[in-house]
Amino acid sequence: MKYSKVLIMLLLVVCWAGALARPDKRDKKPAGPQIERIVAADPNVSISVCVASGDIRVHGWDRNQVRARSSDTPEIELRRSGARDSELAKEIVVLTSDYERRQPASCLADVDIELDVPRGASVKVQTRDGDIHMTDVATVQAKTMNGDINLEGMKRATEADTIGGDVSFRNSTGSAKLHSVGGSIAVSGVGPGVSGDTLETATVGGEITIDKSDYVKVDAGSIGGDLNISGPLAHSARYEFNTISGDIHLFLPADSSFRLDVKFSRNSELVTDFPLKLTTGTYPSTASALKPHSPHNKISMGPEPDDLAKAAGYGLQHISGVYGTGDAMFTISSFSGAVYLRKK
Amino acid sequence: MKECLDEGMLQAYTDGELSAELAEKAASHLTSCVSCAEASREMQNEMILLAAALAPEFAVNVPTERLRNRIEGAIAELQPSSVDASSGHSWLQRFSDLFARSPQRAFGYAAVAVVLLVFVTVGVIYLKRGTASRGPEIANRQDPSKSVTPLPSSISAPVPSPVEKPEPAIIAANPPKKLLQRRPKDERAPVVIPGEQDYLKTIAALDATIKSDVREMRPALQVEYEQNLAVVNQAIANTRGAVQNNPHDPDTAKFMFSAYQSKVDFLTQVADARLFNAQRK
Repeated sequence: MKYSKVLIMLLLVVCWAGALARPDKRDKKPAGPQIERIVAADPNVSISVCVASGDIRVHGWDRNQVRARSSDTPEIELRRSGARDSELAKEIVVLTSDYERRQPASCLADVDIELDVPRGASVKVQTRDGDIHMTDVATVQAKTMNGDINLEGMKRATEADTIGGDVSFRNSTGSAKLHSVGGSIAVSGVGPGVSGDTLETATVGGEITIDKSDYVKVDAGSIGGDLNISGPLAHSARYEFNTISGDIHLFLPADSSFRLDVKFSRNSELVTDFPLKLTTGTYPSTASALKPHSPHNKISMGPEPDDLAKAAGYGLQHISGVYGTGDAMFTISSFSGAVYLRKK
Repeated sequence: MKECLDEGMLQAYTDGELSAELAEKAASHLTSCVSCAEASREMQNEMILLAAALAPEFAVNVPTERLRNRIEGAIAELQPSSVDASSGHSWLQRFSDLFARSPQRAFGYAAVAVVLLVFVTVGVIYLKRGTASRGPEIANRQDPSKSVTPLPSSISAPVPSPVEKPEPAIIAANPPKKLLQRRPKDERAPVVIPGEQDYLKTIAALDATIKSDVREMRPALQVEYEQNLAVVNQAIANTRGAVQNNPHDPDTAKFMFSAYQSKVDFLTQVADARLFNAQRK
């Protein structure tokens, strides 16, 4: 009986701590009548909205108009700048009724807001506690501290930053810079809009997953998370993957053609399904002759890792190899993680 | 009353404790009985002798003079020793008397003294360690209002700042003087690796910016901040250790600088978030 009371108390403390640690998204106010405002706008209009707490949804549509809707505020203003009233709006700031009572630099109050914008628009959105969802917009700059960012159908350029949330970037084109501190980053079905567009992703503790990327230049880096890259390789693509303690997994089609340059700890390993032709480094003595039917080949150079650990502490292995004609190029470095090349 | 008086009756008669009737009968018997008269006379002589011997004690008031002297002496000992300076010898004498009373008491006093000594020693060591570990915090509070320009994703020239040494591992390179003096000669002080100083300054400046906001972080941001700070600090510690063991390996150094860069980017994001929250209020 005494122990059960202690357990209950512990459970309560854990629940309380969990509630404190939870993303403290605002309590939803009862929704009022939906307010809607609409203005004519240039097809490439720039729109900005900053919300203190609340979700932001932005959809691209085929009209040259900007429409804002919300049920959490009695008034919405689409303030124009940079154009006369007779002209189409080129810059719009989305404001709500309480804006004037706030400092000029501050953001809107606690509202969920939904925008429809021309597909060619450039949209800058920021929220503190809330998610950002955007579809079919040309240029996006999205920032949230404590929420997820979901982007789909971006066309020209994308920048996304979140501290505590995840980033999803799907079925889009154009250059992309995706950063999350603690969350994961998932990318799929993406590619360049024009020549020179690149994909850059970085996290501190999260995982990065890239699937079906056509970019010719991809950078992905994580301190503690894993990197998972899958899908066919783009022609002459350059991939640079870096981790400190995370593992790197490449899932590639069997007909892939690539060069590989890997630096990783001697205490770690490179495991490959692809029989690489090594230009630097050696297979271990125990596997001096590659076995064609072996499921995986483990590659390392120099003495066995255990011996090195006893002798000299940390040291890097540097292995370069080619598979096929060497069309794509992987530059991989992992301080203490392993590298896996798998046939998909 | 023809029989002789017994000793009890005779003593009661001599003390005047008999009733008037018995006292008259006893007196009448004493006049006729020679032996009883002799016994009564001896008893009276003894009483006179005893009364003469106890006369000094019976003559003074109660409490006695000796008791009064002892009480006054005890009170004098309890009062503040305004005359202690002039009576050092007596104080020393009394102190030595404490141990001279009994060996058990002396052993007890010694045990208490040893325990106190151990507590004081441990306390001093603990306080000194605490002072050393608080170094970065103190350093960062030297100029909390200093503003910091957030850095771009790649740093070529980090912002210099007077605030230094944010990393505990690096702080040890510049410890408080007392600790430095006590460090054994053979213990090697961590050395700042070339190129590391700029990152340290930038990180210290960002850290100062984050801490300059005295309000507590919101819980969600606090959790993310601490979790990821631990991740990145661990990465820096690991890579830095490898660089120290392999000082001529540029690839290992790249890992370390990559970890530092991640910390700079991370702190920049958190500092931005704090500024955003500050504007929001």
